[in-house]
Amino acid sequence: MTEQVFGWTGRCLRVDLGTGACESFPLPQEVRLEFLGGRGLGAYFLRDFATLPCDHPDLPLIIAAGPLTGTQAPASSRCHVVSRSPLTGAVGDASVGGRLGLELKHAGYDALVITGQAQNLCGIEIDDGQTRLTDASALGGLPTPEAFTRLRAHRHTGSIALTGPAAENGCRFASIMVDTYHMAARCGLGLVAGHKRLKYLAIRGSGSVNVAEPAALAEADEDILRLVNASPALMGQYGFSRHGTRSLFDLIDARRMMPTDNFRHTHFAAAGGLNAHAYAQRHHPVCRGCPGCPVACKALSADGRPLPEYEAMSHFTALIGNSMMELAMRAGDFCACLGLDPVSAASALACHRELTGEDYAPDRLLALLLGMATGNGPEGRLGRELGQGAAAYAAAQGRPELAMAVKGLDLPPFDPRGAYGLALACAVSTQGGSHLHANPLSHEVLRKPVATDRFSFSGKARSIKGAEDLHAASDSLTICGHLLLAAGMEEYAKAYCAVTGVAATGADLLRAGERICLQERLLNAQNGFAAAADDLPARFFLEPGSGAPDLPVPPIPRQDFLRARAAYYRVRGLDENGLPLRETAARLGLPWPQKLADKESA
Amino acid sequence: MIDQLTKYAAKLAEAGLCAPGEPLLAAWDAELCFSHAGDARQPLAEAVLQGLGASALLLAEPTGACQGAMLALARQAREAGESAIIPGDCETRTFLHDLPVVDAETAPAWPVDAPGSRAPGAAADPLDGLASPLATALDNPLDNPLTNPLTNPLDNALDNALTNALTNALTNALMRRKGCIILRQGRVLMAAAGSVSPEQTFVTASSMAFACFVAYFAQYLAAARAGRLTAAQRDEFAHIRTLLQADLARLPSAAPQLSPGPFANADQARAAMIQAGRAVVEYGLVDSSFGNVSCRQNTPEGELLLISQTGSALDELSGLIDPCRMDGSSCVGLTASSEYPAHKAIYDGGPARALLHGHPRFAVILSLDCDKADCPGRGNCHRSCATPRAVLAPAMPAWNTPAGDTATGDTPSPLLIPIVPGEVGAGPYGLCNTLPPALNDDGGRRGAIVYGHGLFATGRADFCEAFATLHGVERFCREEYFRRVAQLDKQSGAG
Repeated sequence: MTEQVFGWTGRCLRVDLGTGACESFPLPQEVRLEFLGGRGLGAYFLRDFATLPCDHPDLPLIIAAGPLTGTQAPASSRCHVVSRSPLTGAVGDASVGGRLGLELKHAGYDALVITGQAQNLCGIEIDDGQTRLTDASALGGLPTPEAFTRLRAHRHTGSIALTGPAAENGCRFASIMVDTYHMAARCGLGLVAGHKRLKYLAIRGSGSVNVAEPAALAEADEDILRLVNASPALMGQYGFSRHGTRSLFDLIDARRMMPTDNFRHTHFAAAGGLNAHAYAQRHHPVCRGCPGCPVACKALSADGRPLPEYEAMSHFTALIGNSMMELAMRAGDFCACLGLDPVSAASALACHRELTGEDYAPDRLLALLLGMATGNGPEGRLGRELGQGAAAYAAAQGRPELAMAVKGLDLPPFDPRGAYGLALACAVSTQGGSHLHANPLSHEVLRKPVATDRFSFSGKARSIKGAEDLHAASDSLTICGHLLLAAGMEEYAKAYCAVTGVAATGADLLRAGERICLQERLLNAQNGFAAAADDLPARFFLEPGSGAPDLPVPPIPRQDFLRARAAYYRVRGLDENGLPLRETAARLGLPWPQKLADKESA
Repeated sequence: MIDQLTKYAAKLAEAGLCAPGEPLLAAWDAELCFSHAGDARQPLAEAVLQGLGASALLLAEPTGACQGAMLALARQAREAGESAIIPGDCETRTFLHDLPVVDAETAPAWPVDAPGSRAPGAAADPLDGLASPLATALDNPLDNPLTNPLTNPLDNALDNALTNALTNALTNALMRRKGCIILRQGRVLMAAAGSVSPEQTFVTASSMAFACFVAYFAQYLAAARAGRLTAAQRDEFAHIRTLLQADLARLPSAAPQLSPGPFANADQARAAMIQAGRAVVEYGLVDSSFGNVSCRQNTPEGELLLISQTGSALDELSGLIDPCRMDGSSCVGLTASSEYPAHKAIYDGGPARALLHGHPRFAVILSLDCDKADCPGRGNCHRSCATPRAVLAPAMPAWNTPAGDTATGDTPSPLLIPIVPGEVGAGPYGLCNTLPPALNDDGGRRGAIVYGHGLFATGRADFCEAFATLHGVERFCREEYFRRVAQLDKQSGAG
């Protein structure tokens, strides 16, 4: 008799693009409980292959949903993409919206593990229990909207994920587009698909997710939605439900945290005319939120183009010295069409601009984006160099200090001099220069759950560690990170229990998050990442930001940063060099990697 | 970090929720530190923090009527076999959900050789010396020969086992919720944990104290209406009422100094907001981290809605007021109070120029009082109510207009203060849908109570009128509450 599984499907699918083999296999209960789903499952499936080069056929590309995906739990329809990042060499992960996670669960799988390398561009089509590989050669080189249109011609329903030209041409920050408008943007995971010659993935499922206690889930939903409605950042007059993450633009500039001119300054004089209100006035946004999300932050312009999220909006203006809204719109649209991460693309442009002093004319900027993705066009040669990422480009130019990146991943549009928890979080994140694994902006800028002193490291080591555990748990339940501005594991634990029938508290889920964070640290340690990589560009410790008379933005005190990082290492159970301790791994039930054991014995 | 710990310990005392020096706050970054040294509860706090992996912990014993109310509710829950108190107020429903009760009645006393076994410098509780049964139960456990380890030493092994049991029970409760109530040796203790900063524990403790106070008095009135009060409950109530009188005696009685409007510029308006916010806290009309205040102000750059930031303490508003443009052309107010949409709609649709929102306890308690025992909507009153409800308070001038609230010298009319449903913030049941029409009705009202939540008061030029409404309505509601209790007692023959 088959055990009835609630929440999870209890099955995963492995597809080998080299052999064409498609194998469904069970996901054991202990793995479900320890790694939950999404990002956690990604780290779990990656752990035996962590040191393989990014173009190695055996390196898996993992797409995983969570136990809540496919249920009524608010904002839980996302999925997570995980592999080794071609941009950084560290573990790479990206959360993505749309229907991909939902359809994967409805097709009967918690995760899809893609290995091998196809002879030609190929596609994977999953229809419930049936999986087939297709020839996708005809889609090669197409802009993503055109590729979506062609695929939709014979797949009207379900979800489609695909890469753009950037992934086919070796751009190290190639993204994966989902359902036309959603992007797994960061860490260059599109290039892993590109190395495998995987052009697209189409999933259609007709099943449903078993919920252990529907009435309890309804109660949990009510608690969560009540908190969401009480959140100014999510549902307020200026919240994400009105303007998407573009709401952040005015606030970040007012806090003197807007990365301007490749982080040389932290205030953008032209910000006022480029804010969310200005976008709304000009583009009349149409909501295109993810399924089951009460916030629905995604929007299109009235003419059908995706409106940039805050990251692209800020980096394609302030970071590169552009004050034209339409150029920022077009740059963001180019990134979506070409399959480029807008943060890394803009960072490469900003790095080149600082190095050369060149201001970009609109045509030149767009030509460079095209060059990054295709290596062709009038700026094909320089574009190809920039397509290796700002860190590689700056190093090749003999000016590595001009790359505003951590571990090779370009920093998001929040200046770390304006929030010291953010500085620490970006430095120690396993994926590199990103706030997403801890989001200290929540308390340092948005005042939730309470405000903390953004110009102090006091208390930040443990709070960053705790927030990393929280976000790892949430990314593994595949809940949208924005929801954590309102609800926490206290509320989502109730939903998790109701859906899965597993008795757990918020603390249990945080413990799973801690395990996942350490698993990622173990993956990185095998690839040589240690304290030297957990650091910010020197600029932030040497140069002040653009303060105001009543708001100075000094350089980050280096010694305070180092003390906070050392404190973080202790709290996280790492050694002084930022490497996991054996006892920490043992406490969390994680196997000690052979490569680290070999290194110790050597 | 220690400055934060001592700050929030002091704020609990300033609010009259705990005795000065009594609350123990702990913060744990790489190292552990406490709000004060030598407190016998430190090992418990450390063990619980380690179990939780949290950043901050608070252990604090409420005093006065809060102690009495919380103790009564905790005992009721224990007797009913419930593991938690479920108050009906808005803050608890939204942010805390329920308040777990840790039954540690048998846990050993804190070691008396440690100076913190009774807080250093702790003020004598007004409970001490009272002769009611509850007073005996609430009395200082160290004066009780049955529980004082000096006079009745417990076996060490048992002692350790009980202490471990308390540690585990407390840790488990705080794994589930932000705060809990420990029932221990005839008193209650609040415990709260935070993942980010000690301020979280202060906010949670304040919320728990408010929630239990409101829940106790509301439940008592409901029980009186239902005619199911026992003699013991009446005695308990009489005693808690005595404690309340002592609590109220601590509050200022003289009028606060509030700047008259209209304000010449945004800086003047901000200063008036800071002043009004502080007064609302000092007069006990809100617990520090709740409530909000706003002002509509013309400036050369356009009209602004100045409003306190979300999560800001009303008595510490300096630098925490967001200048939101009335035309919506900037999102710099992303950090504005969660009630910004309601404030904006009130200004857009009526004559108000200033708004004060507090959580005066008896106004909230009266909003929960309903005599329709068989109403089909019961249980959903926070979302909708088919019956228009209101408090009719006597006329009250602004503090700075003793002759009355009109220039004509006519006798001012009683104040109709509507009671409306509505949840925090936006959403289909948000108070932003119900409050603005209630306040803007009839040419503009001076105040409205949101069910189970708090009172919003308006001013047409400044905060003097709004403060007077907030203060006066609360005083009236307190008197009205005890009048209703007395009337019900009389009807039942108990009076």
